[in-house]
Amino acid sequence: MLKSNMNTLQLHLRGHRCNLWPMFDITLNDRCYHKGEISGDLKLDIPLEKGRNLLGMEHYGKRFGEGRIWDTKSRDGVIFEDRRVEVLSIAIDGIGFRDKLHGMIYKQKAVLGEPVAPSQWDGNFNFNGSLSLDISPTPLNWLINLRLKQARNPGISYFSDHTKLFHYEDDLALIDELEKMLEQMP
Amino acid sequence: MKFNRALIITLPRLEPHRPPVSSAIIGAVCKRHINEVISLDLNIDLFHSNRNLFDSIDSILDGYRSANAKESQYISEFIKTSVDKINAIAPDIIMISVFSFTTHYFTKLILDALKDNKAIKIIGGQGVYVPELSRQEEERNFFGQTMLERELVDYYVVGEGEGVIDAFLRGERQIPGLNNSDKSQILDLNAAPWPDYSIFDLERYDYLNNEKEVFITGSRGCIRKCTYCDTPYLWPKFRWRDGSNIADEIISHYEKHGVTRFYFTDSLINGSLKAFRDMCNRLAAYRFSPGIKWGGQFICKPRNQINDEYFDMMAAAGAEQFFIGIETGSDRVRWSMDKKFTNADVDYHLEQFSRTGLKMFYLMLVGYVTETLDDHAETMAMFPRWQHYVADGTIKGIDLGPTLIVMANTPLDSMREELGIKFLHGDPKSWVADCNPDLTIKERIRRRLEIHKQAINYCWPIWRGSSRLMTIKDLILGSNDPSIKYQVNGNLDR
Repeated sequence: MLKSNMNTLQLHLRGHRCNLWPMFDITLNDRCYHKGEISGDLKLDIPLEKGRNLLGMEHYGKRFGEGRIWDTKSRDGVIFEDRRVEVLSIAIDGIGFRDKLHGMIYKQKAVLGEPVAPSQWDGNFNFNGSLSLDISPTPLNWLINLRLKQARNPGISYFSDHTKLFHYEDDLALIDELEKMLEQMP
Repeated sequence: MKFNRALIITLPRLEPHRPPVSSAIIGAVCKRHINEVISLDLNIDLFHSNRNLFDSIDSILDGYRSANAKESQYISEFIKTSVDKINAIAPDIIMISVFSFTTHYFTKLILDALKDNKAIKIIGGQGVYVPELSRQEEERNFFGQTMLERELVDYYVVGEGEGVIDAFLRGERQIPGLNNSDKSQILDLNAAPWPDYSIFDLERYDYLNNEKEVFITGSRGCIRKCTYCDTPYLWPKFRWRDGSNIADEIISHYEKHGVTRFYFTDSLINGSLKAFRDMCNRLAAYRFSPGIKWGGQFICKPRNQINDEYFDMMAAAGAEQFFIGIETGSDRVRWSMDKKFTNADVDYHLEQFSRTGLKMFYLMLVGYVTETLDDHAETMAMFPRWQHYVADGTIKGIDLGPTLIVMANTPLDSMREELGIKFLHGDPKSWVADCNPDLTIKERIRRRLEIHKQAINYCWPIWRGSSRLMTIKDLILGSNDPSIKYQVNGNLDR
């Protein structure tokens, strides 16, 4: 089956309730695809655009003591109810990359006026805050680099160096040289 | 004559990821007759001793350039050290595996250096019965005969060596394939000896996944006659082992040496669908723990010959990655190569590979003799068309190749007059063809570079990118001489 030229971002989120359902906004570039409460599961198919695709996800409205209300309930140190958003899957054209986003910077909002340092995202929106993804220059190139490109390991021999894959600097320099040589060829 | 100590030598450059199967098979034959069988793998010695040279030596061995002074000095010292090792072993018979024309360079060096060694010397392997890939026309003899005439060897073996060597070690000398060109073919591969990998130090190899991996041979020859390939000449008849016999060998290496990965040397692992199915079913039924993985060269079958269950069966048996000669994005060119499958067949295979977790590696041949600009555009279009399967990890690699070489003893070679193929300097790498005058050497290189850039634009996993480009550079340098005149039909007369 041939794949269409248009790429689609697929999101599957789950809202968890504590007092209220979580509030969550999803935008791509200037367009809003979801705004407000997520009650239970939310599945979205978002068509990606040809150029830059800036995906924004923001969790807000969770209370950490404002008006003496906490949207998290725990007993003996164990949380049994929490107002949060869980990302079950995120994919482009069916190719998932949720785990590859772990460790991305998650900008948390201040809690009771106290600033909170940005932290690494673990697949959940437990606190108020936002995450943005710049899916550029093209969705599949971005996805390939995210999922498959590794840091070079100079200790591996040339013929088995899988870490060289997707690093094209040497090839491009040689192509440039060869194209110049080719111009001189009768 | 009874021999007491056999030495089996493997020469650069082979890949370093698995012990060499041909030497392992000859080792198994020798053990039937000779008390002491020792192997010397100079390929892996070079790999460990000079990684830079090992990685860049192909263009020397392929005949694109000569070794520079520094390389020559290192190679000379390497040969001297190797000869010292050989002399210390003191064999009374030396067998050298000549894998292909790319092994000629080291074979000549080592034989020259062993001239005074009194052991009986035998060379065998596919490289024995091909001409040297050299620009010196007078050297275009078949290699084994040349070495015999130069008194560098006592015997050469043409064809499948295990039967010839077995007869030789029994004392026979009038054998088809021994110092003559009567290529012997083993008709019943089920009776052929399994390779004996115990003659190697299996810890020395550069395994790709840090797991022991060895070669398996399930068939010889090919069901196809792709126009650019000399396999039908080297192995005229396609023969295959029973699927259960192949599976038993895999189980044996697994149990004896703890080998968990297997790479098939077959031109096509799925040439005989029945044997392939039998092997898969037996492997799937065996309780491997830890599990095994295997792969090799594979052909896309036309869609109407297979179904989804075929791919499920492979995955259940431990299949992992397959190298497929996709060659081009143009159905027309692929058909003129006699490959007999289409882009629609590739689509189906990709879909099924992706579904079952199998991996595919593309082998490409840019600038085929009949390729037009429209065909080239279709190859360019291949990269966005199948990029999805790069992103999901189904396409694990692509080798863009060095462009077409009109090799001796191929269907294309025999079509040279019909297609009006002409060589520069008689060099089969530098050709033009009357049937496609727009495809000059310059245009062929331009297309090859454009394809490389397209693969980069779509983030394809290019293997051997730089070394292939260096080969293209050598092709430009070799062709960029205004004094060179075209030679009609070359002069590869045999």
